[in-house]
Amino acid sequence: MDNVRDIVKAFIRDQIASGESIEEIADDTNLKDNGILDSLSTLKLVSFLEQEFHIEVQAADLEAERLSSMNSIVGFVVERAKKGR
Amino acid sequence: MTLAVQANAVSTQQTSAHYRRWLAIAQIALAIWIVYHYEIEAPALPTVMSLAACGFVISTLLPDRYRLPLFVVLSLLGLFAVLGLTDGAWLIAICLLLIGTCHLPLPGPTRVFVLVLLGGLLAALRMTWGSSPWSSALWPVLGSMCMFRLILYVRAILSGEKPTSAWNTLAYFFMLPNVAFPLFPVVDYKTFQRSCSKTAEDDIYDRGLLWISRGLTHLILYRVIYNNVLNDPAEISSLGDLVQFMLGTFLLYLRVSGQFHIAIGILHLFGFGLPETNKLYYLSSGFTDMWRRMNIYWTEFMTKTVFNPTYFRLKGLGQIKAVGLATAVVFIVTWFLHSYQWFWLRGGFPLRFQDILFWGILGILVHRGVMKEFRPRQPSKNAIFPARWISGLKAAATFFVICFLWSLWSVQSLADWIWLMSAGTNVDAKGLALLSAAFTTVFVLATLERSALQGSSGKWAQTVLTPTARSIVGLILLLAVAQPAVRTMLPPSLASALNSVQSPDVNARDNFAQSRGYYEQLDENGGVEESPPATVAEAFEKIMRNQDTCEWQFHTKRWRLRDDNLLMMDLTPSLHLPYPRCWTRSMTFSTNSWGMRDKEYALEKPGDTLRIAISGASHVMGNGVSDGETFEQVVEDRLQREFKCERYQRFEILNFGVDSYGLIQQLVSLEENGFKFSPDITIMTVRRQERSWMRLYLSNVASYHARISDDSLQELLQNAGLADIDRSRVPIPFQSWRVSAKKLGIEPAMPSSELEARVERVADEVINWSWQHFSEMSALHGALPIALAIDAVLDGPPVAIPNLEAIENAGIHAINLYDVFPAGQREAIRVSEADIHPNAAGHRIIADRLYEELVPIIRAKCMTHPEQKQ
Repeated sequence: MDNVRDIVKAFIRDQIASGESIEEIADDTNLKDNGILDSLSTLKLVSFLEQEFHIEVQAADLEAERLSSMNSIVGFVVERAKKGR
Repeated sequence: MTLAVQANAVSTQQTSAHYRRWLAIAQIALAIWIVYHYEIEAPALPTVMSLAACGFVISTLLPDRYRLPLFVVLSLLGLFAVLGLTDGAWLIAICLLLIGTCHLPLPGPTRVFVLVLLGGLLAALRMTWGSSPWSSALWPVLGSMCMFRLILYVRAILSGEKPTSAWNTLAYFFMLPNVAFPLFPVVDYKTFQRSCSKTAEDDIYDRGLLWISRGLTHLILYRVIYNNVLNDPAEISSLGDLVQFMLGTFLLYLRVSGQFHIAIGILHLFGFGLPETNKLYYLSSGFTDMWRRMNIYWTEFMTKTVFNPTYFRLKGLGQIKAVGLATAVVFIVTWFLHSYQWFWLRGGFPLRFQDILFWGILGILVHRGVMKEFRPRQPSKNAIFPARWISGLKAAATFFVICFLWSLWSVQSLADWIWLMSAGTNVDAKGLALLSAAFTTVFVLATLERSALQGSSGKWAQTVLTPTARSIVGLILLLAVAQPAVRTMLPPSLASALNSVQSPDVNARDNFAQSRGYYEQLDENGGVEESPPATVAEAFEKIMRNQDTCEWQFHTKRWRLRDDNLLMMDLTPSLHLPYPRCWTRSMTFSTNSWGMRDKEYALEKPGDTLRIAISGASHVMGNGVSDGETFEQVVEDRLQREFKCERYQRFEILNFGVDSYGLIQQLVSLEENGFKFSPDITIMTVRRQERSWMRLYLSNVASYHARISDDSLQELLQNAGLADIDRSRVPIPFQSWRVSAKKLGIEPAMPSSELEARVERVADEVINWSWQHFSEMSALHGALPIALAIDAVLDGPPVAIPNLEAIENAGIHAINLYDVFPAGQREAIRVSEADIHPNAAGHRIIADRLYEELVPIIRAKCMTHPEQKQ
């Protein structure tokens, strides 16, 4: 789980965040409300998660705000990865 | 930690909270003072701000659980206060019906179907296909509350979302700011629910107050731009004018961003910590960045309802294709929904070609940016220039491109835009200076913003520039510049710009557009409608067909087509019309056998009579007053009664005034009839915006191919490219392009911008010609020419007579009565709230001053020998 967290954090830090330090943001903070994720960067994240963890993300998952904080992203990835196995 | 230390800490926190609350109340008081003082978005915003302030104070005294109900009650009160009881009640009923439909115990698709049916019914009423028991003021507010929120709400409900409480749902739809800001329609339901803080949070209040302060600044800056920067497209003749126009049109968006800041700021005062929008949008470093910054509520709405569903459906085609197609769909839908929004807020459903072009180009630019963002970021190399400089350059480039695009969105047609752009080939110092200033400003600010984002702006800045400090500084600055004493210390140009923002007056151009709208609807959509009138007769027929108001029906009854000369229309002779019921009091409108709004006069002047012929527009003719109440009649009666002169025993003033008559029509009227009556004095009247009236008139003369009998005037228009112009179907700029188009079988039309620009170039010459001609004709007939500056009951300070130099050069005596209506009495001396013509009391005021001005002139006439010509 921590491994997933580190990978996602690294991706957000290197490929998405601009100026804000992802390290300083609490794991349950809403990344959208904090200006780190927006509609476009969410899709970039989706694309990364699908490729990196071999899972499939649906529009309904975004609607249900399954990728809103670090904790929810990690939880979602772990859950989907388990289902996929 | 000891108990004493803990107690001390709690006490310090409480003191700090109290202190912050009081500081917040002080800021709200300042903001309200500014809203009232500058009449910002009056009358709705002052009401909304007062309610918000009272609500905020009460909410600080109430337990947290009552905050949401309090907000709902205030929102409903706001509706009643702004819309009135009837409209307020209807609006609430309609909204509740729509919300209730979302919760009907029916399958989802059925509920959506019922909602669409109800929406269709409301749309039919909006299009006035049926009569509704509420006024038209209800539509924009209803539209802003329901047109998008209902979509987001029903979507959330159908996806299984449960509203946290009925209060929350009511707060979502009836948001207090909407009654003042209908342009704030989209708020995501889930974001709204999530944003609602359960407890009082001073940070949210501070942020809200900062945004209110920022919003007020934007709205005042908007007025500066609107009154001082935005130029008339007709006056664009160089790169400088063009750059000024492009900057002006884009910066008008300050009004929208200001409204958003205030609306969200007010919501923050009640604990709704909604995200910031329109954040430094003019510093966007690309079009995706701009799409993110400008109205992120819309971006969010589009992403949820259009982009994501399209993208995930097309994902199988590959990421690049899916993103490209989804972006294209977003921009097509955005274009369509802007017209949909327009429909509910303003009525009508505009689908213009340049809108398609604007959204299409913007869509391509955003798509390019999106694709670029999807590529993996490369680690930054050792660049020659620092990243913040690159960011500044990108921001400056984006700013220029968006200004360029925005100007396309702001003009009537693509042909008009191409015509305007052609002025850019005339490079001048003003243009280069404006370009350099705009580039430097955006570059420097964007570089600073980038530095701040990278945290290199210094700790001191973060400490000093807290939201509260920034809000207070902003409010105090707005307060300070409102003080006359402060303005006197500023450079005159800056003081003048600040004076112009004091009240929400429309600028000279729009003021004229409003006043002309009453009579001059001939050139509406002139260049783009399917079959614009080609002759004076067709234009007259069109204007006579428009019978939408009782007043208009009455006006048209007295008009007669005159396409045999430049009069275009005059008054039907020997009329006796009782005023209709729509006028507030019983009156009559009569004309004599010569078509003058006056009593009967013999053509031959009796030997002991001094005659004055006066011409002018509706305020001279006496629109809104009864026969015998016009100022010329009052002066005539008084001269007869009080003025003693051996030479003249009788005095007659002949009224040749006709609705909307400008200088040329007055001149033609005097030539055709006035001089036949052997006047001793001839008076032509001049309105404050006579130049604008002249431009409009010349446009009509050129468009409708009016008959010009005077060779010198014909030559002036010919030299300006206004003789025999094409006004067919397809607007095409430049004469050479139109000639080529004709060869290809296209029926070209001169675009409105080109027509207006050509008219603008010749307007002064024609005005000078008019005064010179008036002087010569009067001299020929032995009459003394006078230019009388008089207008309807307009607000604003007295102004100089337009083209006074030409009047004086022609040897014409000028009388300035622009200051005749005392500022405090203006409302009382207008015909009605909607009709700015002087009423009978207003005419008496004019008569009193005019009498005083005429007496010395007539006395001088008394002294001259009867045979002595003027």
